[in-house]
Amino acid sequence: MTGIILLILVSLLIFFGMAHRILDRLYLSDRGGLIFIVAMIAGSFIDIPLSRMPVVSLNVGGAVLPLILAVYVLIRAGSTKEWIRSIIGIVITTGVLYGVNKLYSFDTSRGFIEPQYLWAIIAGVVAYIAGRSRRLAFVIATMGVLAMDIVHILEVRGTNVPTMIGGGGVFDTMVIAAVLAVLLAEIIGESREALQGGPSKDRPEELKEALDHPEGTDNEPSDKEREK
Amino acid sequence: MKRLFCLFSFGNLFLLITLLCITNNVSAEAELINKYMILQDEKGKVITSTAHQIVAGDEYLDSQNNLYQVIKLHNNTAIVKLVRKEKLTASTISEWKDLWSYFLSGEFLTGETKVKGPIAIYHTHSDESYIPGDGTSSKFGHGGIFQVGDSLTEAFEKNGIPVIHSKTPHDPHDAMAYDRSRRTAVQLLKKQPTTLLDVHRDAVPPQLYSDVIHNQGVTKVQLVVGRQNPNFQANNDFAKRIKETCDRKYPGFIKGIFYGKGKYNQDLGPRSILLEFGSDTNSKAAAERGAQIFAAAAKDVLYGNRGAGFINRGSMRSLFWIIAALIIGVGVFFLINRGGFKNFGKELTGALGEVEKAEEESLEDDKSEENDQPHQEN
Repeated sequence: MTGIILLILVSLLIFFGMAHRILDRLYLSDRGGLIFIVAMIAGSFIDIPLSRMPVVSLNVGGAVLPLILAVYVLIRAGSTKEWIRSIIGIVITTGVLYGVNKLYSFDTSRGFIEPQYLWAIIAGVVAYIAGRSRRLAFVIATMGVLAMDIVHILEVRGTNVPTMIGGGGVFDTMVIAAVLAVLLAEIIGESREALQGGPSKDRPEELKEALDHPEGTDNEPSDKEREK
Repeated sequence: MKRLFCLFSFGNLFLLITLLCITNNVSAEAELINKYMILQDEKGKVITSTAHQIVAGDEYLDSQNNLYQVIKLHNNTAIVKLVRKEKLTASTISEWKDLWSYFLSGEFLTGETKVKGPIAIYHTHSDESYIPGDGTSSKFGHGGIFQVGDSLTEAFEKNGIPVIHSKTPHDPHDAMAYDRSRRTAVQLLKKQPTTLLDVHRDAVPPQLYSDVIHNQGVTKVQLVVGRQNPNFQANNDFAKRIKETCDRKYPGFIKGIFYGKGKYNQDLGPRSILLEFGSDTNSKAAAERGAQIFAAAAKDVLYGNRGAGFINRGSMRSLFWIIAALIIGVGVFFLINRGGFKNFGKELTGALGEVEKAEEESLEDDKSEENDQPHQEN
């Protein structure tokens, strides 16, 4: 039994370790990230029924908390441009997810990749193209999977097929796709920057300033400011 | 602005593809029925036929425990080579360990089995049905596969094994079906089952699954293990153990183990497996009888302690590969993100330094509070 217990423990540690690092990137402190993970685990055991016919429920750990975080990240988005990019990203991702879901015949006998990984790749790539942003990857993946659940509710209306949004708790596709999408956007972004020899130098002054002193942080003023 | 325009074009392209998909939504099942691949060795001997989409490198373990690998493809023929003959029996040490834990558990003295979680059964593809019996190969939301699950449940319960059989539908039968059934699987896991079974049926010619046991026509069973899965080794050893146990009672009844390109929610636990009871062209009654034979033959490994050591070793191998992948992943991350391994030590001491710094700060705060207190008293 030792091997089975160790396997489960190590897998959980790696998964939550990754999730913690991702939450770090989403305007949450180390402690905030940790509290959020604990809340997600506890929330996995709570389902909120939304409708009886068709049966629709919402899991706190697997859907409510990730959605709150996604909305929080969107609200913290600095500019209208970022908002527009996010919305376009969500629309594109939903369209692509829907198309791929219907086109890609995945079964024990068909398919080349696990769909859960595919959704994360789609969200990560769209987020990177739309905004070159890890945060956007999280928002797009979460909202994209939610949108697919809404499409599913519409598709199965009038039948006995339930829709348990986020019902997998911390192991739900919404959470796993979001975590993997951010990791992918990070790998694409960092690799691209590493290949081109660092961030591009012709970035606008405003962006440089915003990166030096992000809103809400108490970074020390730069030498330039001190001189002022 | 140019970028926004590009994004809109990109979006429109995908929306167009989506519309095309809606109009040409060919069911995956319909495609499978008419396309077969014949697996044969280099001398032309036919190993099996399959509706599975085959690519070079795929593996298949047949009923005789021969592990084959596809080396090349030609039209609808896949040329395979024999990799090795698998030994499915556990090592003597492992068997002794099982026996030892059986003695230590006290079951030997009391004759009672420890209270274990039930066997949990669910159906990702809840539409799967059998043409002889259901009249169609697919029934939205209530396929004939539910009755096969019922047969399996009854057979386990006859042997005193508790079962939870979920009949939650996950339709439509599309690529997101596993994402939806994952939610059912997680709900079942909350009831701490001993084993998690996802029950399906295949879509190949009926003769590939036909068998006769106790003078009755039954369908064989195929086990499927997901390769893109962090628990692969543990799940694979679990599958081999099931096959080995069934082979002892009914040689050839387990058709084989297929290694698919997915994870089929098997990442949720080492004792989770996908089973295929016959094909859509076999009769449902034969599949139900097959389910009863399977329950009687595999109950000891699915519910008992038998093979615990074997699966445990599989878990250790999975653990090894996960840790190896983690080390490689962290290495690549440092190489790309942090300018090589030179900074690894710095990062580590940096992280520790933060802790020390925080501790120092808290100590300083305590000191200042202590200094403040007498001042306040004065």
